[in-house]
Amino acid sequence: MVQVFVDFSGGLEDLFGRQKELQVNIEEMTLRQLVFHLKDRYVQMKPELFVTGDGLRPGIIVLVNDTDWELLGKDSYQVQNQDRISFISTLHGG
Amino acid sequence: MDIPLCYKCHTEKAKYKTRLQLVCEKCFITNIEHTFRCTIKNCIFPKNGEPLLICVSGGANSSCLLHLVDTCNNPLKTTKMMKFLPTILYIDDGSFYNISTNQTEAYLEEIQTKYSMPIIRKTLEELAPDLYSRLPSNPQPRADMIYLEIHNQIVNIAKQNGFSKVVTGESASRISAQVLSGICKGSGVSVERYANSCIELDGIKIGRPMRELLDKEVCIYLHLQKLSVLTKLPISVNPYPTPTIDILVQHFLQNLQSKFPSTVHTLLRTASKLVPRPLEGTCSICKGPKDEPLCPLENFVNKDETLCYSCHHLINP
Repeated sequence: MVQVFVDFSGGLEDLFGRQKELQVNIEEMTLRQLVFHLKDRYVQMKPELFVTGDGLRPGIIVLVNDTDWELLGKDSYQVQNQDRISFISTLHGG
Repeated sequence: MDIPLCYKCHTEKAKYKTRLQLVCEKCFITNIEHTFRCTIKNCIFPKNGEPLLICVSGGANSSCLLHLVDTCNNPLKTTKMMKFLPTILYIDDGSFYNISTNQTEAYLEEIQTKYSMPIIRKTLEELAPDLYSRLPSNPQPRADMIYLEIHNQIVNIAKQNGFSKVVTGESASRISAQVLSGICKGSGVSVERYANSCIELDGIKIGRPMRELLDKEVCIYLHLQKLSVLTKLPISVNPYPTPTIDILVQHFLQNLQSKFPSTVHTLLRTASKLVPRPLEGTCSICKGPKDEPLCPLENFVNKDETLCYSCHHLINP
């Protein structure tokens, strides 16, 4: 089992029942699988604002231990034990 | 995975990818602060001892603006201090979106203790008591009317309090979305005003020192500096029954930007090259040039001579 810490900001916490931080215990998986795992288990409203058809919605930045996921292979990054994964929305409300 | 070195210092491992460049944390923060400093100097050039009004809505862009202004002006944070006199202006429009005041109070208290700058705080109802009755029910004109009213009130407050220079927090991503949605809404004649780094309204200079920063850069900077943001309109709470043109354009651009990272930059640079058409008169609502539709087939009848084409549709949707 792998334990990761997930945090949300920029309004995304609203989709997760106003929780800013989650501690998630998962099997070994990639970041793409984690995104869909979060969508299936933790998103409480409007999942389409977190995930579009084939992956994370554009406009959401992902940092793994404060490093841009684009440098880590994005979707294919293998989540490690004790990773801190931050999802930050750049979408404006109005 | 083998992470390349920072393109700037060539010593630290890169942590962020912005505009196709890989940069470490230290160089990322230095880059943002340097870009901001250059842009604020170029757009309004605040002189020593000159009062400067900082417009803050509590969103990501303006919270970042406030922090960056503080880094330029705080002797503890910089050795190259710019010695202008900043004042925060907060216009509370929360009641128009049915948002509680508790969050606003906490945010204002936090920025007051953090930045120790004077704050001018006004509510939109107090500034424009008849606004609510004038607002159309159609979502897009309603959002536009609130936005334009806030901008007009900023100019009025600046004049009343003796400010000649004002800064607002529109980022490059936000401005490029405004340019595209402006064209969609029929205010193409005013597009060059959205894209400029500085405009002048009634003798007040309004600068946009964040116009070189992308939303991604702003959000990562906020995250690294652990700055809190007042989420007035969380993405899950759409105050309107249907999405507005602004929101649709913003989503369209974000989608495009994720596939082609130069999209925002290209749009902004192209829009900056636009030259205004010489037109007589100023619109009484948006303060932009007054125009007529170019296509005679539209059978446009302007019911109010003081309004431009776009604002005419705002009042008569």
